[in-house]
Amino acid sequence: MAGIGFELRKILKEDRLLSLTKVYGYSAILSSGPWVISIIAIILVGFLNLANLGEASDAFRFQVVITYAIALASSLIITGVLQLPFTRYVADLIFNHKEDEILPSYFGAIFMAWGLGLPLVIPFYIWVFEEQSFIFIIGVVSTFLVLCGVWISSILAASLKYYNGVVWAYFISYALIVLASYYFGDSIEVLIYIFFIGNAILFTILMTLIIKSYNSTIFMKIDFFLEENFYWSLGVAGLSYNLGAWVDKFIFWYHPATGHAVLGKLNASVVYDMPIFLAYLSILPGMAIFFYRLESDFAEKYDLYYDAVRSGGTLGTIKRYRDDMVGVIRHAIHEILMIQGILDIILFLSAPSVFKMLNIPLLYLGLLHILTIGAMLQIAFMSVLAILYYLDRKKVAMWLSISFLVLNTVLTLWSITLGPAFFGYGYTVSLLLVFIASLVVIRNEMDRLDYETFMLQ
Amino acid sequence: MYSIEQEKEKPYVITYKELFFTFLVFSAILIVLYPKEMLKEQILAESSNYDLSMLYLKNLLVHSPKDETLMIILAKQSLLSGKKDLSLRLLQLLVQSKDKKIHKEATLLSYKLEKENYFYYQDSGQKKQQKKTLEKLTQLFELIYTEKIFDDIEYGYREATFVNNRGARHLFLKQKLQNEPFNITLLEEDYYLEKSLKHWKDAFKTLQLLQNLDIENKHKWILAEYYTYMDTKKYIEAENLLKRYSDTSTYFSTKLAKFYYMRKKYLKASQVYMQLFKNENNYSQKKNYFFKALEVLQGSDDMNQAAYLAHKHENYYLNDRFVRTKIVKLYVTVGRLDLAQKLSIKIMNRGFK
Repeated sequence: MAGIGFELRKILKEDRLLSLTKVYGYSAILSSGPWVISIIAIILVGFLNLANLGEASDAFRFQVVITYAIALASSLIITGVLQLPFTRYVADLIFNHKEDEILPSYFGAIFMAWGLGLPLVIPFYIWVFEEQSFIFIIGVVSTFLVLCGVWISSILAASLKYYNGVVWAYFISYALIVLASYYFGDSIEVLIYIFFIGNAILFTILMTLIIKSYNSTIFMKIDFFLEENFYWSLGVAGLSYNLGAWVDKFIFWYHPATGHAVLGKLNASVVYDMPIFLAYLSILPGMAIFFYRLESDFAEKYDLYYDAVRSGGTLGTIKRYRDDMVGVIRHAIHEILMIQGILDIILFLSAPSVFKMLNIPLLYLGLLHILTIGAMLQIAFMSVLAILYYLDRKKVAMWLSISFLVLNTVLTLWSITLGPAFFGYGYTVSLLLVFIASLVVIRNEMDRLDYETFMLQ
Repeated sequence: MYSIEQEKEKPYVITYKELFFTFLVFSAILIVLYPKEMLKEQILAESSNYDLSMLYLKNLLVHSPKDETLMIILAKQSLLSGKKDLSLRLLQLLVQSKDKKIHKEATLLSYKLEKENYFYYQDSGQKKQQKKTLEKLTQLFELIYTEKIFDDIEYGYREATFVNNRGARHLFLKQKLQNEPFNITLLEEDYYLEKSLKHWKDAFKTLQLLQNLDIENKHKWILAEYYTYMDTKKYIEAENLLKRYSDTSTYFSTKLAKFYYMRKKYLKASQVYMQLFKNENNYSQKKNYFFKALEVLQGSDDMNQAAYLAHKHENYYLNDRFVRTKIVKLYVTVGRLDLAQKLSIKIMNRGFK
């Protein structure tokens, strides 16, 4: 789905300093989407609510509930399995010139997410929030449903020609959430319903833009989910990667040494939550670079390469395009590491004064340093995985994702038993190992690309 | 045409050298960022989120259970976050520590904790518990005082006052006075403490200082000196002191007369009153001194002295009915009927009734 790449390159061709900022700004929002933006919004709501209502505020409990809704509902249980197979299915539809099937498949994906999710989350939420009111549980379940919709819509939204509208949709809905929370968010129920309404608006706008972009003759299709069409390796890869990205947080939330109960059976970790969210904020520029390089530079070279293969190009041309792809990958990884590295240095130097200014305990600094390096490695690892998906190396990407999940689980648990000085090392070391492994894999895959393309088809 | 040379020069996503270097750089960064030493300092400095620092401390202690420095930090943080039970349990262990610094800190923290308990019991009206806690506090303070644990003079002085340990209070006060030797309030406090502790020599020295420094209240400090002499039965010094000031002060002359009277030196007392009589111009006041002089002489064994004094001044008061009647009564009381008769005739001759 390289359509957005053409649009981004078009902006860059305007050749103004502002163009570069614009390209990376769009890239940041389209790539990070609800994931990072919602984290920023939740933290902002927390800060404003605390400033407004003081200690009596429900902001902290709200943050925990929404984090679980995002982690469980959107990333892990449902869309984690569906995201990659759906993306791949849509790409196949575009390749086969069956664009009119995209919209029905999109509705199909949303209804599959809801159909699969509801039987799981309703009993789960009733069990978790047994002491909470009916209104509260309805609010959390509704938020779950709307977040599933937003997540699946984001897959298509990132490739839309109306990318400008997508960016505005994110901005309007989250600004509304923050403002409404500040003025009306005096209880956890109200805060949850505000979050739900904001995301419902975002979902509606994204859905409208998607409907506007694709034609359709039928309402809904769930073909992509049928056995012969469903890419199980991508489903497992998506689930493993998302679980891997969240497992360290779950361990810190529920480990007796680091977690504590917040609301019902929901736990949080006073040690881990703040630094990990700050570390994730630091990777926004890296995500923007990655998105731009992938969707414009790499996609362009990729198309040239496979066009040459399909149209019987000379070996020299094919190899040149392959080398161009290698160059883009090399450049993208190099750029992500360099820019994130510089940003991390600035963050390390400025963090003590910023923490003091915002009254954040300096005790978080040590863990923040480790986790920022981890987050940087995560974005680099994610970039390599995305290229592997592009090259249709589903299985190796799945095994890398499973390795990440296993390593992050084992090393995080081990790091906690080693003591507080090792907190965060589980997450970061697991990412260092899988990133290095993924580099070896991508090196070999690119080295053997010609052979695999011609001999294994 | 594609050549063998091109194949040899083909680019790689990453070379093995670069891969090894990347791994090495990140490993080095993670080693450099290892925060163990930084943690203790930051935990100590943390003052906004005690839950966070306590969680770190508990985890650190799991791995270094004998680290008394960590235990003392945890005890402090527990106390600050209101988790007194944990703090108390840790402190009971740490007070036994062989490390002087830890023992000292633990003892001081125990004292602080008991003091908080004391006020809690006071506020909640649990008088029995409050009394018990005060006893504990007194014992703890005694330990702190005898082991010279207090570094902060001001704090030591305040707590000595709180547990009413006058010895300790005096010691801290003396240390305070080394810094402010001319502080009248402190000197005054010092004097009363020395007096209550019966440190007489020191008390007299302090009084001398007070008399020299606190000019406005000099009179008060002279009197204090007098009473201190009386308390210590130093009558000669007391008499000398009063004599020294009686020449210039009616108050001290009266005080001297009273002193003589108290010491049963009636004649001397009478003489002092008569001296005051002589110096006085006011008729009524003069009369008062005259009566006092007579009164003290009446207290002696030889009452003739009183009759003699009255006789000496009877003409002066012949016109004063009240005085002449009193003198006649005095003559009758002391058995000097001759003098009574003579005065009565004198009164009649003058035509008085």
